[in-house]
Amino acid sequence: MKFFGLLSVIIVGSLLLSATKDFPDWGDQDSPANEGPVSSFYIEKTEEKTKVPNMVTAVLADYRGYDTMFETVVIFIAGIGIIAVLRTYGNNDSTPKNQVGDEGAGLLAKITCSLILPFIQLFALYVVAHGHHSPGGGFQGGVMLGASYILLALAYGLARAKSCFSEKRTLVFAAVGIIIYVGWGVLCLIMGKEFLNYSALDSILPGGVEMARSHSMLAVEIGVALTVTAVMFSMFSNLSTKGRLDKGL
Amino acid sequence: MIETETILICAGLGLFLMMVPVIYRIIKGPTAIDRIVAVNVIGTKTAVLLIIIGALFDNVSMFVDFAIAYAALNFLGSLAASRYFNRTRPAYGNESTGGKN
Amino acid sequence: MSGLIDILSVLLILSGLVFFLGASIGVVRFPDFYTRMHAAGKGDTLSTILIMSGMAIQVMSDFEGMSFLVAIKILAIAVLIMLTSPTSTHLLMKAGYDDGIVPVSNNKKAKINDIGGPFLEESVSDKSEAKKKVKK
Repeated sequence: MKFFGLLSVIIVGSLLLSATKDFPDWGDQDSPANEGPVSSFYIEKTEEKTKVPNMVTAVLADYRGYDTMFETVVIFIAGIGIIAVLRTYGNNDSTPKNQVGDEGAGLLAKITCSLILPFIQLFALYVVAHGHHSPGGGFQGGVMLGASYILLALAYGLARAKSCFSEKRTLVFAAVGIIIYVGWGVLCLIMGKEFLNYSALDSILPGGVEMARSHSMLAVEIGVALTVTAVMFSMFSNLSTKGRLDKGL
Repeated sequence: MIETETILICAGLGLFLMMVPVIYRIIKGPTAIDRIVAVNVIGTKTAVLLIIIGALFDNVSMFVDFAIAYAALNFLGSLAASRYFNRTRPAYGNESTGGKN
Repeated sequence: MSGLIDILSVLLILSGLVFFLGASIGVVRFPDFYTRMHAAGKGDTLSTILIMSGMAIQVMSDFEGMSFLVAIKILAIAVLIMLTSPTSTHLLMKAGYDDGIVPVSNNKKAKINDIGGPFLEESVSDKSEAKKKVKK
C-alpha cells in the first residue's frame, strides 16, 4: 500500500513538474496576469487611492472585501461545525487510563511561557495593527493570538486558559468579529453608498476619503482577527479533549 | 575584500546543506520523539535562514516579522508534541501502535 | 571602522555555522536518543544565537535609525530562541524518558525501569511491567 502511495505521488509530482515550464517567466511583461486592466490598476492606483503602502492588504480588505468577508464566515462556520460535531455534555467516562490530570507541563515550561507569552500577544497585536505597512493582517495576527492562548493551555493546563477565554466568550468573540465586519459594510450602506464601499465614511472618519478607506481596513482586520482567534482556540480545546473541555492533552 | 552578499549566500547555502543530515534523522529516526527533535532543529534554523534571505533581498525589516512568528510557533509545536507523547503514546514496546516507529 | 564591523559579523556567522555543523553531525551519528538530544539542543541553540548576533551587527552596520530597530528585533529572536529551545529540549527529553526510551548501555536487555524508571508512574506503557511491580 505504501508503494502505491509513493508511485502515485511520483507520477502526479512529475506531471506537475513537467507543467511548470509553461509558466511565464519571473517579471515577464506578457504574462497572463498582466493582460487585463485589473492588476496594473492595483499596482498604480492603490497607494494614491487608499494611502496603504502594502498592496496586498488593500486588495484583501478593500477591493476584495466581499471575498474576505465570506472567508471569515467560512472560518466561523468551521468553528461552529467543530463544536457541533465534537462537543459532548455530561460525563461519558472515556478518559484513557494513562492520561494524567490537567496539571500543566511542569515548572520549567510554565516559567518560560510566562516569560514569552506577553511578548507573543503583543507581537500578534502588532501584526494585526501594522498590516498596512508590513506583511500581516487579521488572519495572521489572529493565528498568533490564538496560538498564544493555546500555549497557555498547554503550559498551565486547559482550566487556566479557560478562565481567560471561556467557551461562552469564545463563541461571543467569534460572532462579534463577523458583526464588526458586516456592520462596517452596513454602516457604509447607511451613509449612502454601496455595501463595503469605505469611501462613504469620510464624513465620520478623519483625514479625507483616502484615510477613511485606510482606517476602515484596520477596523475590518480587527474583526477578522477576533474571529480567527476565537475559532483557533475553540478548535484546539475541542480537539484536544474530545469535546469534554475538562482535561487538557 | 569579499563582498557581504557572497558571504551571506555562502552562509545560507551552508545552513541548507547542514539541514540535509537532520532530514535523514527525520526519515530514519527510530522513535517519534527523535523526529520531533529533528523537526525542531530545522524549525529553528528556518528562522535564521529567513533573516539571511531578508538580508539578501535587502528587506530585513519585512522578513524579521516572519522569523519571530516562526520561532514562536516552533516552540508551540514542540511543546504540544511533548505533552502529547508524554501522556498518551508509548514510544516503543507496545507493538500495536505501529511496528518500526 | 566598517571593515572591523564586517569582520566581526562574519566571524560570528562562521562560528555559528561551525557549531551547527557539530549539531547536525551529532544528530546523525550519536547512538541513542539522549545523546542525539544533547547535540541537537546545545549546538542548535548556540549556533542560532551566534548567527543572529552576526546578522544583527551586519544589519546595523549602516547606522540608521530604522536598521537599529530591525537589529533589536533580530536580537529579540535570539533571546526568544535562547529561552524556548532549551525548554523544548527538556520537555521532549522528559517525554521520551517517561515513554521508556532506553539509553545505550552494555546491558542490551535493560528496560527503563531497571535504570531508574520514568518520572511518571502512571505513564508506564508496558502493562505486564506494571503488574510485576504491583506483585512485588
